[in-house]
Amino acid sequence: MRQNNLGYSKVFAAVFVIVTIIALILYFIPEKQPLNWLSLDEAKKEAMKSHKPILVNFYSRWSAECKTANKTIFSDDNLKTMMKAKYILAKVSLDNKNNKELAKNLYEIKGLPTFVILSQNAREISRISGINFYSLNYWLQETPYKIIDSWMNFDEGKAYAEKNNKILLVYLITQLNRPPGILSTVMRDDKLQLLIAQDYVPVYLIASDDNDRKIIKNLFGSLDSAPYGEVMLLYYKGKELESVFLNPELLSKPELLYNKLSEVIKKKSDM
Amino acid sequence: MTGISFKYFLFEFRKIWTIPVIIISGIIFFFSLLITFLPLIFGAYSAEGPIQEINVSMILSSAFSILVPLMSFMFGAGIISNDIKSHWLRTVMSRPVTKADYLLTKIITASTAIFIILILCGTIPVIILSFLTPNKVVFDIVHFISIHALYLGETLTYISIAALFSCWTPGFMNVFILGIWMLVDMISSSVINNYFWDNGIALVISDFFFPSGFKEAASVIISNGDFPVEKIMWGLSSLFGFLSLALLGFSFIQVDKGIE
Repeated sequence: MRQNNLGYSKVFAAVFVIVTIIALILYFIPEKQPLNWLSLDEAKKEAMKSHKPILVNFYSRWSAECKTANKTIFSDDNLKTMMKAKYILAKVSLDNKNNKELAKNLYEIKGLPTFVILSQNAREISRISGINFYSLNYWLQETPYKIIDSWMNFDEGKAYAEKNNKILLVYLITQLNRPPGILSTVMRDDKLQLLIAQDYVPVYLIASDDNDRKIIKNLFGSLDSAPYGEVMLLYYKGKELESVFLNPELLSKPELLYNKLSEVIKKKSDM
Repeated sequence: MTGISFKYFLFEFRKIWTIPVIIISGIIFFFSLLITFLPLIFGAYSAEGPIQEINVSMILSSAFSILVPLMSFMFGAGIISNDIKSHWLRTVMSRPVTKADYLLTKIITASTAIFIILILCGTIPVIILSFLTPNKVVFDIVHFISIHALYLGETLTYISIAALFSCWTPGFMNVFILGIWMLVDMISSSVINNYFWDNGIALVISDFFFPSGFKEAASVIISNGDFPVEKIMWGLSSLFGFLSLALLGFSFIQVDKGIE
């Protein structure tokens, strides 16, 4: 009967030690960041300037899932291009005690990785947890269209537009049975979104809302005097530049609305 | 004889296909055909259907992630202890075969058998499906080969763990321990991710509790991510760690006494 042969065991143990050391070194080396993430404060400032939503990535260098997200999801070129175009990117590291408190108390983060989309005035629009490539991709593509839910209120928007030399875009809905969600169909156009983000401050007024009704009455004297249906009213420094009636053709063809809004920008620069 | 002999490998390979193993493999093969082709028969793979495209590597990765642990339970249960019980180990050891040759041959044999079942129940049906489906087929040869290689590594790791347990416990018990370990891993990951997600040490423990480097490397590859060197290193680390432990554990077994 042959004796015990520990030769293989020693070789395998040596390989195990070497490979484990390499893996540990790779585990603790800070990974390459495929995207340029700002701090949350920097991102908020940048968002106020560019009028884009903020995508906040809550992460920890201890979390394998966060690392995997960097290596898989955020290394995808198409997704990277889309994210850079649509969002101001911010990262909040939970390895920092203050950030941990912020994440727990203010944003109520309950797991990693979590991504939160904030409006340009830092109001939460949507969030997602986990690292499924397809659901994250879909969520990132779809969420900006919900930005209508987090538009500034009329007074805030008016003040902001005047201060920043931008056109105030009032999306007015006086047709009581018409849901505001219809605008999202035409807003599913990247070009149009970027144009609005760069040169406009969008606000909305819905006649079915008590507060909005008061503002409409102040603007037009009475509800009956306001244009009926869905209208985009475009103001610059308190002066009405144009009112665009959103007829079915305009609502279904983003390029027509884009051209209209581009013309208004030209009008503004001629003033 | 020194080193692993092909003749001995073939001998062990023939021995592994017992009647229960063939029946269970047949049942798994039947179900894999049902799962693969039923949606095709019922028209789910039409242009208007819910399935937009067939990503071969992604389907195979999902299938292998279920099949590998399942097969490892079947082939790894009692991989050593059954031979001790039936006195087969004593017979082998009376020949010019070292303990290391025996154990490595057993691990390679079981892993090869599992890999063949993976090809039969996973790869071949999915390849046939990709020719029959009217949907767009996404096929990347590098991903395809990588997925197979990585899941072969995962299989070798599972069988090495089973062999380590099998040195000390009978067949049923080593499957039970492996099952409990996997269950604890799932529960602890869920608890840590929900309640201790902000604790760095807890996250690291959760990462390393159960070896899954090769599986995670496969998921990185199918997501078109960077080459997962770190994940592969963890996979190799687990594989060689458990192989050396299994060999060490096996070296303590006194062949004449066995584990009973």
